[in-house]
Amino acid sequence: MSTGVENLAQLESRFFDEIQSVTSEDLLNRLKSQYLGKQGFISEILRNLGQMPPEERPKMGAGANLLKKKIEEECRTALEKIQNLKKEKKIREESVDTSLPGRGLAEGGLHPLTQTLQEVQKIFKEIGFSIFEGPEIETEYYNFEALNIAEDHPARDMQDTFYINVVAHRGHPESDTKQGRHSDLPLLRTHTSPVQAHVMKNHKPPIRMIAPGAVYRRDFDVSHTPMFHQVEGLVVDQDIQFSDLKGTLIYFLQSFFGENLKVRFRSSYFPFTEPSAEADIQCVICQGKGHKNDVPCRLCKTTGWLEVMGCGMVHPGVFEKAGYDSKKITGFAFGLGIERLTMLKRGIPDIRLFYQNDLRFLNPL
Amino acid sequence: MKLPLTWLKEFINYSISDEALAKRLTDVGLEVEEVLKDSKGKTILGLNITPNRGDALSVLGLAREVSAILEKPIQQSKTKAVKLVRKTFTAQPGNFKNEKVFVNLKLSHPKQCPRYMMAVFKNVKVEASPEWLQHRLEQVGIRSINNIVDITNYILMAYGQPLHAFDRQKISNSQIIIRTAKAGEKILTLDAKEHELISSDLVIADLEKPLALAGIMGGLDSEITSNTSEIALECAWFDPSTIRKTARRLGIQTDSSYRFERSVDFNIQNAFFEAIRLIQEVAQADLVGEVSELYPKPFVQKKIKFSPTRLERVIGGTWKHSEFKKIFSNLGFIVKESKKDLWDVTVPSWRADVSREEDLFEEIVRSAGLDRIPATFPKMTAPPMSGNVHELLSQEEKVKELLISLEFHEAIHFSFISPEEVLLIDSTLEDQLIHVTNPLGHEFSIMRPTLLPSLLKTLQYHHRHKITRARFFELRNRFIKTQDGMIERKALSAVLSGVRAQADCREQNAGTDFFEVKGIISKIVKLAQRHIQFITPKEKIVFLHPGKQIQIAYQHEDQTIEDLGVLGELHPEIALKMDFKHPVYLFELDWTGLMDLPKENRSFVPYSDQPVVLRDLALLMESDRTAGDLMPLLQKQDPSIRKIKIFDVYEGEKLPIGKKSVAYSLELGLENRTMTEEEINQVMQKVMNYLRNSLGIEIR
Ligand SMILES: [Zn+2]
Repeated sequence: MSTGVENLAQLESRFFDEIQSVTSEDLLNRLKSQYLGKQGFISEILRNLGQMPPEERPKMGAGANLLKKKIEEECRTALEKIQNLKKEKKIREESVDTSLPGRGLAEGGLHPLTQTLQEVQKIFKEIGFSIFEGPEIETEYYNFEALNIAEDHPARDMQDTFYINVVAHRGHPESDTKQGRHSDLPLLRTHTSPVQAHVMKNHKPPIRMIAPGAVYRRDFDVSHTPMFHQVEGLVVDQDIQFSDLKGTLIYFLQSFFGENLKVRFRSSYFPFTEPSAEADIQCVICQGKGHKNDVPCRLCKTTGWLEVMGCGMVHPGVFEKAGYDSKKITGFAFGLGIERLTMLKRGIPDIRLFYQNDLRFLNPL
Repeated sequence: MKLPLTWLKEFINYSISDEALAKRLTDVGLEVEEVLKDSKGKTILGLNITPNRGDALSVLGLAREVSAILEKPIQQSKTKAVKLVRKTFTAQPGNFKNEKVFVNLKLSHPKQCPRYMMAVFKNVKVEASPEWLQHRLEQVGIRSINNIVDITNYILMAYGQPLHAFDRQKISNSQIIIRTAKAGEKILTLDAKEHELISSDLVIADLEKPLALAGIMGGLDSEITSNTSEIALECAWFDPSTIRKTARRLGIQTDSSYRFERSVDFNIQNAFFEAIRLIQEVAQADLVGEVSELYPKPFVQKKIKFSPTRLERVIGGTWKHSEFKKIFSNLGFIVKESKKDLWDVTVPSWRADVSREEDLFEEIVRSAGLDRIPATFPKMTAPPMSGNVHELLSQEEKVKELLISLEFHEAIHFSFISPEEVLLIDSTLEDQLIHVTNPLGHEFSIMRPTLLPSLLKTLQYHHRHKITRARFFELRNRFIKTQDGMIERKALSAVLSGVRAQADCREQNAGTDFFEVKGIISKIVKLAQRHIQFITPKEKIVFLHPGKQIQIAYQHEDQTIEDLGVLGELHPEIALKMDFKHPVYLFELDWTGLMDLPKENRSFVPYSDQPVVLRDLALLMESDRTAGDLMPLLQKQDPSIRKIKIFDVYEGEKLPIGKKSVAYSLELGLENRTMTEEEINQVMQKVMNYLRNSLGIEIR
């Protein structure tokens, strides 16, 4: 090895050459120890000072120490640079395409009929109604007789009934049950009203209840499905008046459709109520005007009104069947169709859509 | 019911517009559904008459209502009464014989036929009806046949009284017998159909055979034809329920049976006299002798007690008593104020529907208008009722929200499906099917014993429309026949296919699998605060992939296992039959059963601050060993084992064929102090010994 100050200068320029190509902490450490380590060049120079002529020693010693500092300084800078580059690289690598959609946003949803049912239940629960359920396979007694619908009354024609075959055998599913018809004959309930009869059988007044559920009638066309949903309501107490029925239903309809909705009542007939009425709301399409943009409204047939509920004061015959004293108590009952309410509120044109479960139908609802 | 307003004006003179009239009728409960025009541009109202209002099924009946609404009188009929011979009966019904009459009447069933009248005509000219008569029938949609039949239909529409004309010469021995049918007796009716009768049917017969189904339809034999020259005209009041039973059983509904079922005015004579006049005039016929009548027990008009204050109490609002009187009298009711608050109200003969005080209330409110009644609110006099289903419904709402957050859509299907749809999935259900007696078709003929077929069908529909990523659930009743009867319980069922929940657009290959479904069930059960076990089914569930199925169950305190449902992958063979090209996963949970389980009691559990130690164990075991079942076994080995988790399962090249490696992580700890290294090693040794010696499992 050549000696002297030139040697130091060479070493310095060599270091500064070499450090240019250092790209990692590892290489840097290796380079650093090559120069500054115990076996490094600087240590070697310092170790070999004793063999130098005494007059060169201080200069050489100072030069070596200066170089050592320079190298240390340069290594520090290089390390910082390398670490910064590394951090930047890590950040760059971790970066994502932020324009991509968030995770788990695939759609799911409640069936619109369930949404309506839940809303109706909530409104009535808030004003103190209790919710009850009853069987969908009913007996003729609860579906008709307990509700004052006698076997041979034409009111039975209002509801075309599905009967359940109790003695169906394999290969003989159509055995005739019409001949031996009696009250226990099972059928698919045609309305949720039988729940009234069950509740009255098990409770003394006062009663304030609703009964939601599926009901069945033998009808399948543009405006009927053989299964649909109803909510039945019943309030029984001393001194329940027709005016209470009006107040309750107006409250419900305005809660459901909107605060300023017009509601009217007109006389009607149901075997289990007397007097009976239909509740109509102002048409949701033409706002009760009968025409929209001078075109006759098809939804309300220009009447401006839509029939939404049947109701009335509980018929004394129903109380008598339940074992209540119809002289001492009064009550009102009402029924509404969930499909119809949903169609009116959400602008659904065809009742059959509810039962197709097509995602194109369900998704936006 | 069609009401031509030109016809109405023959009965009542009024001046309000057609639209105003339609509205007023609707307000009193006679709903006008449509306003039509006839061929001459005259208005016809289409009314929906409720089944109680038989009296409103005629122009006269509606004229009475209009008269009450507008407070204008009905025009009196111009018809003169015809001389009437009435047979009076003592106790027993019997014969009517009168020398001057052409037919003899015999009544053996006065309950089914309380009143029967007959007039006989000769020299009848059966021909086409005059123009005015044809037009009237055209307006109400009845086909013109001949003058005699047309007159009976005209009277039916005008007065609501059905009549029937027999060809008198076809009545053998001139004897009319009103009796019930003999079982097995047959009749050929006007529509050329033969009916076999039963003993509750009422017939009009001669000595030989039934001539007509009373109140429903005449017989073909005694029909009026162009050759008829003598007629016997019947006018009767038949028992509504008798007529209805027969009409329903035979599936016949006629304008006549429709009115008798709903009850006609028991004062039938006025309509009859008008008919007699028309037949004499239009068919130039001669009335023979007198009109005969069997009326063993004349009807009495009903009297009902009416309390004005009770009305106010039941209806609400304020009323003037004079108003009640006016409404009653406008509607033909007669009021006698016997006591101040207890009136006697006599019901007109045509209002069979009014029989109780509440019916009178209805007459008042429908006439006064429901707008008169204020809107009030019922007083709360009691807390919510016991036995309600609020808790159940809130559980249902919660579980539905959970499933929606897992990207399910709720579906609602009809409760009836075809048996094949069920049997394709599970042929063992055949004996448990509940059949609908009168379904709308084979595809709606049984009540669903499982919700899965409908859900699979909906999934299949979407797969066919290229939507293979879909998830549906349904929470509804299912129906199963057992030896004890029919069971109706709620099931929570779901089907799913395609990418698993929470996957994003770069993870489209992460398809749903068995474990996602198993996790969903665990979440549901946890949300419901119940406990269940997953157990390997004793017998393979036929509709699930044999290697990807598990049973959901509950072990009761007495160790009995209650089946709560299944989950797994749809059996590949069924998937193939249903044309699924992607794996389909599903579950069905007995929701009612789950709800009936004891609810977990969530209360404070003391916990220790002592540190816990984690130790891992990698085990080499047979591939078909159920690694999850080891966890409770290991936990039993020492009380210091707090928790066990499986954190890795490996099966592959690095292992012998038929083996898998499963890594368990054990959490160890004592309640009151730190475990020593020695204690930990002892516990681990115990566990390893158990694994090697008792289970033959290798530790890696
Ligand atoms: Zn409208």
